[in-house]
Amino acid sequence: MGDDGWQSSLSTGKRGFFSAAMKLRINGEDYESERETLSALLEELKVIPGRVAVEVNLKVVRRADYPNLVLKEGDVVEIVNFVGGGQGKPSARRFDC
Amino acid sequence: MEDRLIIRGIEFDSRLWVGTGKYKDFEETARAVEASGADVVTVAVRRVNITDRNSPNLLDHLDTKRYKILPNTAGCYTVEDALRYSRLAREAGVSDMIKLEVIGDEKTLFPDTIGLLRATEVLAKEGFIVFPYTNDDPIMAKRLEDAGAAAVMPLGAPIGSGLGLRNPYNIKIILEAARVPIIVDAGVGTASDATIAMELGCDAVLINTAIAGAKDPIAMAAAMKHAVVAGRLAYKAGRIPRRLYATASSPLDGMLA
Repeated sequence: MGDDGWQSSLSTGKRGFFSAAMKLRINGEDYESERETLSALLEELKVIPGRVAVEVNLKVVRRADYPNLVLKEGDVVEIVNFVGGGQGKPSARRFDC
Repeated sequence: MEDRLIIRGIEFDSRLWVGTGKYKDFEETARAVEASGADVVTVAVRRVNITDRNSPNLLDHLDTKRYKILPNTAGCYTVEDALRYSRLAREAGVSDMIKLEVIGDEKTLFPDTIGLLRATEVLAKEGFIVFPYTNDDPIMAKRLEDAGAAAVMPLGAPIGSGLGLRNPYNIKIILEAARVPIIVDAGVGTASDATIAMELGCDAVLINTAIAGAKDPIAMAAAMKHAVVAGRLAYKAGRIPRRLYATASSPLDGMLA
């Protein structure tokens, strides 16, 4: 990225003065962030904590722990919510009897 | 006395539970749920769209105070996945209830009952209120009950097939032995299928595709509501035995000579 490490730390939750953006994997996609904690990351993603659940490196994180969870380079984050669903995985296969 | 379904102290206002998949849009989902009179709606756990945060969310269209949200593990093919989805669902903060699915095969969507039993044991120990989706197998239903299932949900037929209750006699045997509520999950195609399940003595029915896939989902939702009520009333009323020959219902006395 040609990052020289001199990143601004003006907004809250960003990493230290000399730190660069860290690479994360969020919901299966590469993502770079300077946010230090899970709370700050969710804020950056504009995700409201109320209706989601978050997993970091396959471990479910309690909502109360979001502010204390410090993210590291390479962390794998999953953010899920509820969508419409009944049973099984809707099958593409159809047949008539 | 009011005939109300109670599971682990949770009171349910309706014996019809509905899924929220396969609808045209959230507005249609909300209208169908309303017309069904259901108070339990099932939902799936999926990744949040982090690139488009303005994408609408189902729960914006459903009053979570009015409906009991029942997360499922639909699409999970392993015990590990089912446990992972269950724990995430609980952390999303709606309830401790989980409709547990461990699917064994993509074509039939039949449950992998060995994995299902394992997952039920683990989740019951973790304090979940587990509703496992299983086969119409009386022995497995009993094993799930012993493993701590709050209710057992045998299928009537494959998910989305609309074939109705293919083996009502097995469902009857499951009901005879059960000490937990039995809720038919999957297979209902039309109103009479739901009525048959309730007439057998099932405690509730869960329906998704038969409503969402109908030409008029809102009308079908209303039909299912009445079908479930009718079936339950008939079960409580006690049907007449089946007889091979006629028994007259009008008196023979006073007939013209």
